[in-house]
Amino acid sequence: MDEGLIARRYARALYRYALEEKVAEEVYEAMKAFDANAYSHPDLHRALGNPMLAPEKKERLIVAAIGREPGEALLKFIRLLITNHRETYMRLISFVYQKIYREANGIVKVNILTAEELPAEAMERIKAFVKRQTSKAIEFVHNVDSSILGGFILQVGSRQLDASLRKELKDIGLKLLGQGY
Amino acid sequence: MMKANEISDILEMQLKEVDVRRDFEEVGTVMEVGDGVAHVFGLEGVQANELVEFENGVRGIAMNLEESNVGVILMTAEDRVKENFRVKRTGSIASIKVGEGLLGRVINTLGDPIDGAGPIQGDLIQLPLDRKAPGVIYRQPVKEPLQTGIKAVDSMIPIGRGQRELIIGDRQTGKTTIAVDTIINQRKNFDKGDPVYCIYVAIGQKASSVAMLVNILRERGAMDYTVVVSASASDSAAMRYYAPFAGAAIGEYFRDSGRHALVVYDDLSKQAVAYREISLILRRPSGREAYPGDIFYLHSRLLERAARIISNDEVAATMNDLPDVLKPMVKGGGSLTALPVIETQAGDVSAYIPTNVISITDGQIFLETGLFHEGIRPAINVGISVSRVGGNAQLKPMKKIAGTLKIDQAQYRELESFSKFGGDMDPVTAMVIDKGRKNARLLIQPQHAPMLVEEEIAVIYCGTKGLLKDVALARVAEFEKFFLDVLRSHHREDVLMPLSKGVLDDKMSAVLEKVAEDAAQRFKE
Repeated sequence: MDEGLIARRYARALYRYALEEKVAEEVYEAMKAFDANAYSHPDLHRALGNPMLAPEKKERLIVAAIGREPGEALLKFIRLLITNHRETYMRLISFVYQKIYREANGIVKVNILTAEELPAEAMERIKAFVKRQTSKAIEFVHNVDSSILGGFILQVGSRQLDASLRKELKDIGLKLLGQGY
Repeated sequence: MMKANEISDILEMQLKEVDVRRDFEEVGTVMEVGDGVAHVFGLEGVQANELVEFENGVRGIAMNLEESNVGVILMTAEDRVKENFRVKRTGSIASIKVGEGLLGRVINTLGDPIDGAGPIQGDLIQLPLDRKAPGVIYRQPVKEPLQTGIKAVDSMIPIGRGQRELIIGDRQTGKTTIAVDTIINQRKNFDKGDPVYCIYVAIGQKASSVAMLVNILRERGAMDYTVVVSASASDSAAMRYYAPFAGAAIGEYFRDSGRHALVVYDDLSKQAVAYREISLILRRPSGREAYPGDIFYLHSRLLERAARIISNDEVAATMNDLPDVLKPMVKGGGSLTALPVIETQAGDVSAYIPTNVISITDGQIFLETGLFHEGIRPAINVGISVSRVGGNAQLKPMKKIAGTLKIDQAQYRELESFSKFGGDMDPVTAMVIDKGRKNARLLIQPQHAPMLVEEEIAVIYCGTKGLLKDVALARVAEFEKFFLDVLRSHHREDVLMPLSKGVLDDKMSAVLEKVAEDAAQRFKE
């Protein structure tokens, strides 16, 4: 079964409806917030799939995960989703919605992960580098994760450039062991 | 700890060196993971069967490709992949490292040794697990025999090099024994310097059974030319699903370099179950017995890879789907023989998987519990066992002598079941039954004791010519032993040697008859 199809249809319907209601951007922001919270709380997905949880509670759960006033249009959408028992697809729908929105508005999302906080000057240089690569509007997200040891991981859309020390060390290790793919 | 300015220096240096096309890799995010399958968002350009790597180094294979969802099956460490993990493409498809160093080793589906004897030595090349079978023009008819060393098989259900012969039967009927005896029997070819390399693929078996089997092979000196691929019952479904493909890839390495190989898939019903497991978790629609719709294709594409390659080197070099690494060593005339094993439930050959595999293979050896308990071992049911192409590959004298043996034995079985009702029998029927009974005794063979083909021919000659009519039924085995002893000590040069080369003339027949007659006198009723 093509499960992506379900999410795609819901996301497309939501995008068209949001456009009509002129709230596409708010919904986009809400989806990003939901995504971030779902990322930090993997249990959310399991809770949404729990049949013991009443629909109202699931609605409250999703709204809480969005972390802000969802707005009339999105609330309606959440209710429709719960009525149709598709609440477990919320995460995938949020992904697809963001993708649709970005494509429609010519935005490219750029994630940068570093081991430490970067000085503003270094950030600017990276931004300039990315801007040279694309003509689209850029949405920057900067995260810090010390487990990459050093260097950076740059993700542009669904492509990533792994220039972290962790990866380099791993490559050296594999080379020494004589293992590749 | 790194200083911030150091980081930016590195950044700048690296940014200058970045080759945008090459260094950027495609990534996705794990949405959901469970039961050995991860659903991934992203990875838009991923290919079917491509290896993907999770951020902690665990690898998986992309199986389900949907627009915004990729189903990835995990080979190992299923519990180490978590939601929100980043996944990246590797650009290579699932493959295994193959080389001469594998001989004598026990490996898992990924090609890693699991026998505790250190890393695999020697040159290894990477071959894809899943590869298209050779096309029509790269093949040649099966015409060279693959001796199993089992009288009943070599005489009635002969197997040729490049053939696919199914071994089917209930549990505990000796399926594995036939396969193992065939492997052990290849020792002679190895000693002669014309080896048939063997690959034994254990799928979903107990690790203890595999260990026992490896011991048997080692004791009989069969590990010198054998590779054991094991995906035991505790391995993931993905490992069990891919194990036969790994075996086929190793077999193809020998086949395409102009050598002969034999691969045993023990057993494909367990592989089908592993594939069903994966398919259901991937939420693919299920069909009969909950198997997915492409279960037939799974087995047909695997067994099609068994082939006899054309002997012309130039044509063989242009073979379809030949991996680049294999191209320098391609030679014609090689073969890959497959002995798939299927376990039936209560002798039901009309279940889904058995019928599928029966229709794919070039014949089947059907083993029965009843016969096994009667002491007829190997417990081959002659009536429904068949070899569709092996007849052309039999040695001439064997073909001549054993030509009617199969029909005679099938007829005897029927007559015998009638005679159980009692009543008088006409002398002709009584004779047919007596001959059949003695032939059945003659075809009994202890396990792990394969015979030389010339001795097989000599023994079966006695059976089909009715030279045992005076021998007591209980003393057939003694007769056989004595008969062979005499031949070995007195007629090695004039009978056994020519027989092994495929010659049988009147003079030799006369010798055989004379020796048999003398022996029969000794073991009279």
